[in-house]
Amino acid sequence: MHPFIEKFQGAQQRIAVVNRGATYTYQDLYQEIEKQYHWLSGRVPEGAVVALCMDYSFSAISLFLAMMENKNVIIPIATTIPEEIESRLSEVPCAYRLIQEPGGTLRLLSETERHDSPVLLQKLQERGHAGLVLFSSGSTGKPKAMVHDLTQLIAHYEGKRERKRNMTFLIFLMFDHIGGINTLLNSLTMHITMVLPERREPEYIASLVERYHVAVLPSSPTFLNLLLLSGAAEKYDLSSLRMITYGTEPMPSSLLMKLKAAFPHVRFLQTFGTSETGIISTVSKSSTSTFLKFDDPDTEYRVVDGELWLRTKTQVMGYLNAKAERFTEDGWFRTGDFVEEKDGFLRIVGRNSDMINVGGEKVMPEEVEAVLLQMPGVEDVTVYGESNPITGQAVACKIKHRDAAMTPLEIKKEVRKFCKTRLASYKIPVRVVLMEQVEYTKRFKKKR
Amino acid sequence: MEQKIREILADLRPEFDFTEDVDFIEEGYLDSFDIVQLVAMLEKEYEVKIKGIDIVPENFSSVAAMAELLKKSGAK
Repeated sequence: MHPFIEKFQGAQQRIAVVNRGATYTYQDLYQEIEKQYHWLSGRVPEGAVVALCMDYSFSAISLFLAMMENKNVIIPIATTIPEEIESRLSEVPCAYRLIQEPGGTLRLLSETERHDSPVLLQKLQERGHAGLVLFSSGSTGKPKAMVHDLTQLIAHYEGKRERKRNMTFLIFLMFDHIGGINTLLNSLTMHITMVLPERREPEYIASLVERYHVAVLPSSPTFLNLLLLSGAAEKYDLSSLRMITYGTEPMPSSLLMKLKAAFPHVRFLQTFGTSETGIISTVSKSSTSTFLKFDDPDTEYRVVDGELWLRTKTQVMGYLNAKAERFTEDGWFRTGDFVEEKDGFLRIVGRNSDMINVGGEKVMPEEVEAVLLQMPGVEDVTVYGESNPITGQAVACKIKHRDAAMTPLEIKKEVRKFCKTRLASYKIPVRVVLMEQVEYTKRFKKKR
Repeated sequence: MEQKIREILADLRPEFDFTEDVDFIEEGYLDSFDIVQLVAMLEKEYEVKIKGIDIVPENFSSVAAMAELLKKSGAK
């Protein structure tokens, strides 16, 4: 089989996967991939596009690699919401759908036959390579389907080293997310143990960290804030944690300080990546800084009008259902992330699409959030723009406040007083809404 | 102490020679995940806890730097 899979034989008895209380070694994984490949190759032709409708599990990982071996184009779909599944699959000429029933039986369903075969998929077939389709939200709301050459992507990881001594990672980010795929491929390359959660609530994740002595937790700032607010760090023994990586959205400095205080023996490492370019190794300026440097020989970057542009060896071949407007002719990807540069380091300031335009003055929500998070009693805040007949947009915010007895008007007065000496007047929220719970997406990103 | 640290490094990454006078991080002998494992091994050997704020590449660039870090963390 592919050398990436053959190498699992070198780590035979080491535990590869912990899932639903069961443990599986690299030997088990190898044998399962072989079995799944023989099952697949008799039913699904090479080059066929197959939707893998599962979140992380031992079966899902084995099938993913078996499909890679079978040179399929894999569409991992972790959502279970039918409308979301159909919305994604309607954008791709998918030939088969693979699902797993509650009892564990695999079902292979044929999709409606489509005769079109996009150029990108033809290229993969010509190369004899497997493919990977990921989705990102388009500006119109329609998911954009992007194609990676999976065989080339795996080659990027093959240069990384196996670990003589084991480590335990918790695979928090989802199967159909570039961050989740990155953690999976990194872990399999290093032959270390992966703990797969069935759910992602903070208390449950903390219980897994305690039970399996997890050393490395990849996550997002939103999740880490929830972890702090839930009190799980006090209820469970998280002393095995040595590294927490965070990405997918900017990290407020005040939250990083709180995390450092809660986890004084953990190294915090910021990750950066996009679905289009892959995940890039970074070096943080320090454990308490949100400034980073790219530490990856396969990545080039530049900053153009404050926006970060990237060019990597792991970037997509293109989109199946959208124009590659954000790519320049010479292959640079305009990320849409605004950055601050200082002493050769970068700080992610926020997304172009989230920017609020107040009468021509630009406001990044993250800047206002960073200030409000320092206000006494504020547990979380989301800043967003709302329409304003005079200025076009105005700054608004939703606040989760510790003191349930305070009225919205009292909190609004506090917000204005606190921000007056810290922010320009056009950045101060004109509307304050109280929220009872922190609002976040299923992927633990702030919901704006 | 430095001899013991070298033994631990050799156990972690037997393919490299940690007696060489090089920057272990710059030369690629140790990466972020190596540092995670190394911290756990050093903490166990010397019965200390190293602060997260001290887990930065420069403190793991040489055996001398690691010895300094361990002493700072209370190792004897």
